Amino acid sequence: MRGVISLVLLALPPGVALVRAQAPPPNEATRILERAQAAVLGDKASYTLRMTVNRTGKSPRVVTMDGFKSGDDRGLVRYTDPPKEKGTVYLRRDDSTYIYIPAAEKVARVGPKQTFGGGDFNNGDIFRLSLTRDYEATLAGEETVLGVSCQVLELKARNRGVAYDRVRYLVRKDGTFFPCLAEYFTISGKKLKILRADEVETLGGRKRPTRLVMESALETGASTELKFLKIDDRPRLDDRMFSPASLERER
Amino acid sequence: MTTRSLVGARAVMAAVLALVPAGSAPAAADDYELGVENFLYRSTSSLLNPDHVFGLAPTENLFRLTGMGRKAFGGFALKASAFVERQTGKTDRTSLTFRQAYAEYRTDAGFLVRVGKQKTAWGSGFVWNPTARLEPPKSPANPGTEQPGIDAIRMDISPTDWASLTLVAGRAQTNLTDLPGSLARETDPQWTGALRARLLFRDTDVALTYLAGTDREGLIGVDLGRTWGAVALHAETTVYRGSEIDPLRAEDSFVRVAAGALWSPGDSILSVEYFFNSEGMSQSEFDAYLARLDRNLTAAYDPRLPERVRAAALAAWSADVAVPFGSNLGLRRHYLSAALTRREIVSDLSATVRAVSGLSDGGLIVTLGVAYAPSRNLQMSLDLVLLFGPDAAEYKLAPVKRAVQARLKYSF
Repeated sequence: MRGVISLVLLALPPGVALVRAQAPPPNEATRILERAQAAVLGDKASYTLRMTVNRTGKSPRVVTMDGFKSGDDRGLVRYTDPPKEKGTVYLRRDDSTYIYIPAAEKVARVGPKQTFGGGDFNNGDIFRLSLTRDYEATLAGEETVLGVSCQVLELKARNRGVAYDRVRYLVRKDGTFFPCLAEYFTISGKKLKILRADEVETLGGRKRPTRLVMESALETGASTELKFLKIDDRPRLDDRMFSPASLERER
Repeated sequence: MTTRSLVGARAVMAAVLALVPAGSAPAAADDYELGVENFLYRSTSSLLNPDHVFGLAPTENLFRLTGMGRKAFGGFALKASAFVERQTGKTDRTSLTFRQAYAEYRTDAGFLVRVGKQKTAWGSGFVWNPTARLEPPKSPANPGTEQPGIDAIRMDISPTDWASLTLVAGRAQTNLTDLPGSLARETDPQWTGALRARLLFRDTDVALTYLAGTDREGLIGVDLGRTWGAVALHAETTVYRGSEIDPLRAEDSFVRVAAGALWSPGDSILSVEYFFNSEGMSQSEFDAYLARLDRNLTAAYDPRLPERVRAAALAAWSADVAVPFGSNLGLRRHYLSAALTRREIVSDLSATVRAVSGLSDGGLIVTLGVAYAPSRNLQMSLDLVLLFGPDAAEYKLAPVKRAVQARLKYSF
């Protein structure tokens, strides 16, 4: 989930002054990005998450899931509610993503750009666990968003395999390094999505943003909210649970 | 028990326990489901069913009440899934079938031992799984249709996080459910063992399978999966000795390959798969098969022939006519499947169009399906199966013109 949190890039609200910083050393931007990535979830974590998918004219779709992460390369999410979707499992292992669908009793590979659970996050958003590895970060000034002073990071994809070509990523300057907003762009510069991180609360023994909202820049009224309900930053996880073979044992 | 055998048993037990990592898997939530299924078939005369020799009623119906329960106690779990079926049509009968009934123990470290009626259902193929030969094959018309498992013992171990080993010993059986009247067949179980090693190597899934049994020579299978950009690719292949369908060729080796791709842009899922079955009949063999069916059936009902000859002809016809409904994966050599699923057409409604073509004979199965999940607990689906192609096509041999499959499931 660090990827999601990392993906929290600050959109620049209209009328907000952009303070252009001096050409910064690149390692400073990377350092800020690393701190921002760790601000929501630790290196290993288990958590409970509620996802709400909003679409114009449709009732919200709410899914609750248990998630686990281990380092930057492994993540697993298992749906626990509603009953009709319970047992669906997503697994991220290195560059591969899998889904287990209980109704079909099938383990299938899926692409990183595929939508996650029918919402506005894609698999890469959820499971791309290291922004510093996938993106080259540079400092791009400061912005104030909703009264909070933020450092703007410009992230450029290191390769085309990642979900977005460019990301504007805003991190709080108050020493918390909490990500607050992100904007995602295509290679042509078209804005695809906006992610906001808010509702800073104490969860799992420390303060952190507990809500992530991804809005589509292309579809009016389309958004998906991820709300952390429980986080454990020191779980005992065996890396063998993050294997596609473990999904085959689900049936 | 002698001292030596006791020591041996302890050694085996110690070895097994050494493989069991400490710490059980996080308790999975309990699952329960109740449901209703109804499969409605319209029968027809076909080359297998000339003059309605099967005697099927014009409408054959399978009505089922289904139930499933899974209860976990830490790493231990019990699961049972069964249905009560009322068949109406030519034969009116009620039966109880367990799809699964097993006990298991598992850990997060990839250890699993499972005993009872269960499914293995491995393989990357969407429609055809040539490496999964313990259970009845999936229906190409509707691969999502649930088939029963087999009585087996299974053990999984994961020495590392990139490799796992599965051992299964069981009574492989090919009870084909979901077919009406005398088409529903039950075969004698065959003791079969399988070993499957699964590896993840440079983002490529590799699975190696070896399977052999009392009535089966060794089968070697390789399964590959990899993501290429936004597309997930797979290839599943087997090499085995001894044909599964007529003409019997005990000494020959055969190859089966299922290869395909899955792409999911937005709310759509598109999949294609090609299947090659080297033991399938050539056109001349298929023509000979059909001619033999006709010849034997004619002889079986020829009053001029002695009773003994007629009985032998009827037995030969019965054996031949069972071939398409046996455990084989297809009578011919080349097949192609394509499916498109569109989610959220309207709120909570998705639709699927699936087509399976027998490239060797021009047969075509088209399945149109909708699925609706109007509440947190309820799921409904309706599938219409239509058969097209020349009368001599494999898919037109079945004495079924079309089928409607309806399912309703309540989960809690």
